[in-house]
Amino acid sequence: MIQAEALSKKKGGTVILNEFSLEIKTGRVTALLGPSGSGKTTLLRLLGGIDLPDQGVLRGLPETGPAFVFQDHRVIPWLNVEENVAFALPEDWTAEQREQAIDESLTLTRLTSLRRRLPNALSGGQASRIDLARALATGRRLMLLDEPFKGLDLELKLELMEDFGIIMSQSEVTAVLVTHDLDEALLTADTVVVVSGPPLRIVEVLEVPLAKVGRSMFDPALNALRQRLYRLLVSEK
Amino acid sequence: MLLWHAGYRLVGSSLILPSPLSVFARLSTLIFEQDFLLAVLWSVYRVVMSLVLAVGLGVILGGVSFVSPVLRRLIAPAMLAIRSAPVVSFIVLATLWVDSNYVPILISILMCLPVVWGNVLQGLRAVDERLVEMATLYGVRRARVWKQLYLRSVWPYLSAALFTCLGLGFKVTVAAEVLTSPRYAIGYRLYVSKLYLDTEEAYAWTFVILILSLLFEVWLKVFLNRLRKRREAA
Repeated sequence: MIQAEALSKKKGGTVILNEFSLEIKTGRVTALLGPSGSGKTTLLRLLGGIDLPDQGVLRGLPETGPAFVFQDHRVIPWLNVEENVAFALPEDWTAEQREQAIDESLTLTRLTSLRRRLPNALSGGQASRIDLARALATGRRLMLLDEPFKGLDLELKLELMEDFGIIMSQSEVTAVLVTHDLDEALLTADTVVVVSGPPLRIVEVLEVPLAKVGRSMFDPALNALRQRLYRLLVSEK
Repeated sequence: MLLWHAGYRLVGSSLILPSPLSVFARLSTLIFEQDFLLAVLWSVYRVVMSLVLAVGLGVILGGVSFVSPVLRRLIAPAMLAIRSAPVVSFIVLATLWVDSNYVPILISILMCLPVVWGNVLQGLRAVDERLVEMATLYGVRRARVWKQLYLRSVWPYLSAALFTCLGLGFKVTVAAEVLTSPRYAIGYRLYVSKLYLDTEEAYAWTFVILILSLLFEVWLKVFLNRLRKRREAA
């Protein structure tokens, strides 16, 4: 269990977090769902150690630090897919360890046949998987995803979300995903934390009682949750 | 060549504008003269030495300026002063301090240094900060970040500086040679031919400078291409 206890954070005179607390179950995907500017990304940056809280503590974070999947995909244009993935691997790993980690992450993200290609020779969907492959290869137990499906067209988004579900079902990684998109949260997460702000506060925590793989946008159970989430988000506006 | 010949016919004085044929005839005898090769080799040595030293120094100062804003504030005015001051002033002042054989090297370094420094600094600043942040978050070692991100970002800027400096190096070195008259130098030979009103020889030497400059530019292009391919294959 990862615990954020009474976190406070100010930015430019605005209180973004005020004694905010949250529990994140390990081995599961937790989505932070809320409007843009509510403070979700600030919380993610605190979880990732990019920023430090003014007050409060974080417990249960893995010692190795988290892996990241960014909103603006951080792909090094002059390195091929494999090199991009290898870039973040620890230097003290043996050649076999590196090879194995790269092979596994490329298989999971369906990039194996494209490993020698440069990012500009890939489609948008293929290129956006590199970030995910890099995060997986590092073997870190916590993955932080900042609106990873933002700006993608619907078909590609659905394909990537399905892949993400398959990958998460096969790994024991704890994932925290920030989004303002209802369907992204419902199709990928085990737990949806509806938030509002600033300052960031929890409106409701919903469990998604469905398997990670094979979720459909038209599933009646998902539809009922969608309606409930929609009402919650509208009432918070 | 046709335009040149037409110009020669129009001017009607080989003292001002000799014919292409007479210039090439002079060149064909010039290249067999005892001092020709020495003059060419010394001038080329000066250009290459100044380029190597200017690039080395420029890369170091550019890197230092990027890492330390305090040092950048000290280095930037010096670079601006070098860039703005007349070359002739530097040549005259340098002759008081340095052996005439090496004044052209010093002057060429001074002219190329601000170009290399500016381009290196610009290249380092152009690095994608988001990629540096990603590297930092994953704890990637500084050496790898510099090799894979900063050096790759600087490379196109440094290549552009090399081409600019190669052209500048030949111009400035020969100009300094004209004014400082070292024993073996293209510039000195150019100066002597002007003294003796040997216009054909002056044109022949100018042609030699053009050819050398062109050859070095082609060599640099091939060298940088090979380097890029080797790096990509690595």
